[in-house]
Amino acid sequence: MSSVSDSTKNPASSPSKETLTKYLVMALLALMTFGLTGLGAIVVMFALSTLRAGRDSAASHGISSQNSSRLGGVAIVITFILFLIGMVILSAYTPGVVRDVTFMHLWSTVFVCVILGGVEDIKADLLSPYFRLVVKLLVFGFFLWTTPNVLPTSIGVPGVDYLLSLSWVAWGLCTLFCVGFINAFNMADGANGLIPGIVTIAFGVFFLEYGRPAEGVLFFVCLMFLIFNVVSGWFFLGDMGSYGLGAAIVCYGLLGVAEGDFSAGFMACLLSYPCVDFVVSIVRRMRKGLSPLQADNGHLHNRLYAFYAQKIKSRVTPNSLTGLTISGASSGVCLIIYALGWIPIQSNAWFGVFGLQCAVYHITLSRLRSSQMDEIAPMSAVSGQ
Amino acid sequence: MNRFSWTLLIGMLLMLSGISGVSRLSQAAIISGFDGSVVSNVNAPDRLLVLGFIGSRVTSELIRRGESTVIIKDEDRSLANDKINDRKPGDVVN
Repeated sequence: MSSVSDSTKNPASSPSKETLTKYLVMALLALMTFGLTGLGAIVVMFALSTLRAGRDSAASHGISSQNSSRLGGVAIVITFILFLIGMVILSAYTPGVVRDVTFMHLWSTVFVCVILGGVEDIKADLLSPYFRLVVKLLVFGFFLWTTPNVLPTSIGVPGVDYLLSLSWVAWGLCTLFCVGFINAFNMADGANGLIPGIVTIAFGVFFLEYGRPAEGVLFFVCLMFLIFNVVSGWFFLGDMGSYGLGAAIVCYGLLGVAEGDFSAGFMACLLSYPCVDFVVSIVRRMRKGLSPLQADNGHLHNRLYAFYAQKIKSRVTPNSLTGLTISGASSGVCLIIYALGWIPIQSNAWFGVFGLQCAVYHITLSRLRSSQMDEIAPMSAVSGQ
Repeated sequence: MNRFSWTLLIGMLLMLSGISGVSRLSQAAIISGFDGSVVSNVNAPDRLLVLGFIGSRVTSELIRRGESTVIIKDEDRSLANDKINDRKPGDVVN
């Protein structure tokens, strides 16, 4: 197995003081949260982060300033599967895919998305964007066609409820929503701890609601990845991670809303950042006459990173701070309201919170944009003289 | 074996120790008849070492709620039924 030695990460042959500090912080956080089990997951992720496959240069990412691996999703999948196999062998746990046909379909859909992203991680641009889009549409179309109990019949929004009452329209709308959501997840994965933070909170909430082992293991794996990602910055989620986790969350979300376990407003609030950022980015690009799926640096996380990078001179800290700020201010707020029981999880009042989150997003984005324009204007005036 | 393989092996063994810990706690909960002693003992030092602060609580929650977690092997089922006096795994016992 070809791996990158520590000397490749750092110019010196032995680990630098900064690298050793990172090892120590990751080990301590893992030990505090999940003990030796957490430490084991961190060690597995560290081993996978040293592989040569899936390695990206700093220049290929928007806000990262160091060489990293995009095999974070692979690490999450491997750790998750290792844990599940261990549970099946050691504790006679029967996975949901064996017990329930809905979960079998759900996890099969997630598996296809994981493979689709994995191919892209191992060899970039091997599959064209349109091919991936068509595969996702087919997979989710098939999933929702064969598992109609996942389709919500009402979400508490009058016009949409009428459309959802028509089975064909509901199927088409939900298929488009699922594919759009996965793309939104992939698009928002631009800072350390942003999407990992959101999925950790989401699976934490799912675990508190359902108390099933699969959500507990996913919460554990995502939290360990969050620690590794935020502290070291050596790992990105990659397409495998964002497609796989996005598919798992959208399927769980649809199922939960369809069964009345929580409201659509709660899910919108919990996953507000990827959804709002996706819509705003598409509108921004179309107004500029660009393709809606063409990458740019106009996301809120890009602008917040530029703001932090001016104030903090570090390769990792501004990046991680950006991700943690956004995930904490969006899904974190939702978690606090949920944990304190201020709004019942089935209530449509969550739509109000989602509206507030949208307003905060727009205010923050416009303020950052105008302040960064003010800074660019004098510089361009000086350079023009 | 190279360094990558050793690191992966150590990580996997540490994770397996955690799974084994959860399994042992589930068995202990079954044997004690879900009397709450395993679920409430979240700050035991040996448990914290293997599962950590959050992991210990997650395990307690799994045992408390989880009929699907504490699925007992067929050979263990009679033992569990004897011990829990017709209570199902996961039932809260005051």
